Amino acid sequence: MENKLSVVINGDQFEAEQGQSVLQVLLDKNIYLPHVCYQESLGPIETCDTCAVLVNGQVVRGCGTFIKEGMEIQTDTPQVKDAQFKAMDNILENHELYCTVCDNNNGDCTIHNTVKDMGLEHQIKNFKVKGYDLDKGQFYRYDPDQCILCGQCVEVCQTVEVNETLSIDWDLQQPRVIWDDNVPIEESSCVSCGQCVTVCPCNALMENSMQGQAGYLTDIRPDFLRSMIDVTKEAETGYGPLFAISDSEAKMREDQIKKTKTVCTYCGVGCSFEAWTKGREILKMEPVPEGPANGIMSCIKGKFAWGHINSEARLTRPLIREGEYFKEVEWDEALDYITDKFKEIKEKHGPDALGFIASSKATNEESYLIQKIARQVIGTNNIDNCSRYCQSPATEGLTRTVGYGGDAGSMHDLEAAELVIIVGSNTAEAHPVLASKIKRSHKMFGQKLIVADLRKHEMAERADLYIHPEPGTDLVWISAIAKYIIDMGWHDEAFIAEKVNDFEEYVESLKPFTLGTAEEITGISKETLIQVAEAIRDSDKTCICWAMGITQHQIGADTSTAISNLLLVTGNYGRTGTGAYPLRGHNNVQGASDFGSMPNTLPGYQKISDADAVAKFEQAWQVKLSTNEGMDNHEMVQGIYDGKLKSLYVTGEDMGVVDSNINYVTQAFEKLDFFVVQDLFLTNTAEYADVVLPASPSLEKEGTFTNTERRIQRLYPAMDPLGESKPDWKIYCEIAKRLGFDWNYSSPADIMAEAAGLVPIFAGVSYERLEDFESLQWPVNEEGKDTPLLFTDGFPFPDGKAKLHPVNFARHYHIDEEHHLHINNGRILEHFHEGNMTYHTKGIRTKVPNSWIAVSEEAAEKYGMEEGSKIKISNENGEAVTQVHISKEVFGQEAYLPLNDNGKSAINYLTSNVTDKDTNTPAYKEVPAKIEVLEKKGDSPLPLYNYRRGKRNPQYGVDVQKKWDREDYIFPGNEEVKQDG
Amino acid sequence: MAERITDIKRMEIPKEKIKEDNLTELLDVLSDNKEAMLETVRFFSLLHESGNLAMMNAMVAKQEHIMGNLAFEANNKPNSTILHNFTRLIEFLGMLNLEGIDELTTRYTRKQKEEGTEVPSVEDVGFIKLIKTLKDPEVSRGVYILLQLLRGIGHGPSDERK
Repeated sequence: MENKLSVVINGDQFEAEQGQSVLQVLLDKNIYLPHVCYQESLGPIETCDTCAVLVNGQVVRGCGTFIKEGMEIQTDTPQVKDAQFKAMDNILENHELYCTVCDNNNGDCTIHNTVKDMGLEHQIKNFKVKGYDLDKGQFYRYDPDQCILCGQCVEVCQTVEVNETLSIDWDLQQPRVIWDDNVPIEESSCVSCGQCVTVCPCNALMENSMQGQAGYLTDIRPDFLRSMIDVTKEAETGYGPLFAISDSEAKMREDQIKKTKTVCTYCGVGCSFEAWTKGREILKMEPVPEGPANGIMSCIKGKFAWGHINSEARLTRPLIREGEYFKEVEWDEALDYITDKFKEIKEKHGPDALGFIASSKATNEESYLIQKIARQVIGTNNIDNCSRYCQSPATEGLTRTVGYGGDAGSMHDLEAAELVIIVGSNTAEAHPVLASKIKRSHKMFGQKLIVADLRKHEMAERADLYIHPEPGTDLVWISAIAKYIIDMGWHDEAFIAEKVNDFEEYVESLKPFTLGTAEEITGISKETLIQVAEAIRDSDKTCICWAMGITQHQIGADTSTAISNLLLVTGNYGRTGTGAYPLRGHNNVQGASDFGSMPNTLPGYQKISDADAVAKFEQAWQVKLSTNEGMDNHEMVQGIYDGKLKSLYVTGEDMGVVDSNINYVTQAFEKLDFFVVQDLFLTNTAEYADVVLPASPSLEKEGTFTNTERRIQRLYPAMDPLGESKPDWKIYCEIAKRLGFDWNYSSPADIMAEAAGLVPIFAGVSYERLEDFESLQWPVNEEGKDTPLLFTDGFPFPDGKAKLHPVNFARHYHIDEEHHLHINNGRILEHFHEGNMTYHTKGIRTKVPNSWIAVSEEAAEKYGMEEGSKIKISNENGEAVTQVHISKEVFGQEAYLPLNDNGKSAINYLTSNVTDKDTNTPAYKEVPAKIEVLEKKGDSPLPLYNYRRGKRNPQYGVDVQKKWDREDYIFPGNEEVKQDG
Repeated sequence: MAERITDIKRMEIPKEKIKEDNLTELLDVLSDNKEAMLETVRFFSLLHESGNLAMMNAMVAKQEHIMGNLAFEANNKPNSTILHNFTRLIEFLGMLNLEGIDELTTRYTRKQKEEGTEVPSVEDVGFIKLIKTLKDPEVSRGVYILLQLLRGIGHGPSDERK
């Protein structure tokens, strides 16, 4: 084998992979070598020196020494042991061992376990305090006196999360980890992703929620704790007895701490965690290397924003409207009431007078059941989900061209791409973990990045090329680049000939999209457009990511189509590192559609116009199904006005805030004969309901979510439902039973089994194959083989070929003299969506207590606004009031209003009923408005303790060379001679 | 026509109902664990009869105070030194090679028995005699052992490593 090398370890011959470090080889062969600063996810950092090993007669660091043919490695000579002990002694000089009273004594403390495994009984160098104060942020704290300066936190911040906040100041007399240029955590650029805490090998960085909570003896007064530590140290006769006690105590903790695998409930990245709970208390969310989407990565929401679970505002009993208030009632009363009303309305007005809206927060099985209620129990296709608000245009654009409305590959492909183009996506804030993967590839591995966006946000700042198109004109520049590439002969002729149909018609359709026209419409210069085209030409593997900046326009589906067309003509499908990536916004927006909560498709995108598919479901469900296409979300609202829709059942969706033109939507609610809302809280939408049912969040139920990569993952219940609340699937079962359909599912596994039997793309999906951190990316064949990368064997059309779908452009949106500002809108990092869940976490509320409008310096000057000015923004749809934040991210007459507000500054007071022409997705991003300054002077809406005020400190990792260059550093393996690594 | 409302009238569950539910839950647990509960009752009964239950209750109630006092005292000299020395002593006992000491003692007494004499007085041992005695292999071996001992004593703490 070419890449195999032969090495001798402790006298025995072994085979090893080329490119492996000595430590990796030893770990592979189960030969013990201590190591503290090394973990696979981060690679060698070379700060701890404990992996000292004898290689060809010289003591070196095992993690930083790469194997060569014939290398002789010895792990257990006295010289090696001596070096390892000295290295550990240097660590213990920086870290006080008081394990039994330490919150990190949970069996996974790297220092504890390494000292124990090494058999170290005493330290020679005494522990020394460093002379720095403990620094406590909203979510975690740093204890310099416990910090061993291994730099894993720095490494993860600089090269994995790539937020570039943490570093070790090796120039200080006493080095320490610093935030930015040595400011407190709260004043820094830290985005609270928590990854530094996750990788910390001891208790130097720790979640606030763990402190004083994890152990039986850890919740004691600090002075008393100090006395206890001192007594322990006086009494200890060596680390053996100390560890015997602390290991026993750690084992005892398992009796009260439960670790449950879960999947994040926020964005579409699909991070999985171990949820550490003590009763109902959430101690922490721990990302683990086995997490298929995220590994050790997390963001502020997934790691820390779980305040909604135990919020006092949670609904714990069903509510029925009674005059001017809601009355808490028993489940039987609420369910009887609902089913009586459903029957009455169905009898009186027919099944199509009832509408159902699934939740993209709920599980796949729950999406399957609510569409089953609509179709089997009621007999209507009036079922939709919130992808109508965001991703339906992308699904349409991809279905037209490549056949599957999902990401073409995995996040691994985004990492492997040579060029990533991000269009209309604030990825670093809306999909932070996915963004970090791109940031890492860009920073560390030379990936090229092009960003097209109205705002010069973080990804744009990092990009090799940033382009700023006029609002709503992306279709034009994307098509112009496709035309230019074809004109120059840079397209992939072989790929097109073999795998793509309708090339000639497509080329014909591109005629209007000359560079000149594109420059005129989009404002992007010809030279820049050529630069983009050349970048695509020069890249062997290109991925394009997009989000709401593309889809939430009147031509959202067409622009998505244009993106897919461009990828097709350049041969960027079906290979690792290529493809289209519409970034799904919610944790299960992909799954909500996949499992059939759509008005025109049964589960698995089987069309209701497909007689065979309908017959299959009719046989399984033993009813005659309606084949009339149902109403989508948007049509349902209109249907209420038209008197066609009399009843609406909305689950886990605050339509009254997140739908466009909410004045119009909430007035529609008032016209309903019967309105049921199922949610965690009494949301703005629920306030209009006749019945409100208390649902359970992700941590209280079982099921699966499907992330943006089409990856299906299981979540397990970490605790019982709060009060009388119930998981949605149980509520659906009870409603169906009362309406004559006893489904008799014993668990969501049964629901998945039924779906798998009816949906070809889920044929091999089962709970057994999804145990713990296992996952499957659809399509999954009956044998359980999944498809991380689509289109490797052609496209899912009869002839296996993709279709180029011609699109055209007519200017449909612009600001005018009266409405002089374009109000762009979207997410911010800290809050999810309108903030219904995230505002229940105190730390997040403190960092971002409300939203603001970001305006350019130019607009601020022109309209007399200052930082903190209170302004009214208005148009014919309504008005919003908010405060001004002057930002360099926005330009000219463009402003940005985050959607994390359900009060007076909610963006959807200003959005209209205009929708994408193909999918009815509201054109949220087309908001012209005028502004009026109400109060010129005011405090900045951006709190002092917000990461946007920080100043990043980029560097390539921990910069260990600076440590080695210090006068007081000597490599333990060779105290006579300094080793420079 | 359903206007927006925000007030919730909470279900008032009568105290009697809550009590009844709690008791039902408790009775279920008691019934399921009858044997264990009877043993537990006997255990607490014995503690009560001996007067220990009241003392234990008080200790738990004031545990932080009591532990604080103990820790404070334990950290004060000479208590901390006693504690430290005590644990070191135990550790030292664990390190002692008693077999070796035993063998050394046996050798010494055996030599005395062989020579059948007491240790000679200082006056009887002149310098020349002392030098001559070094030629005796047993003596030179003993001197070597002593020199090794001196070397061990002179070995610096920083050179030590466990």
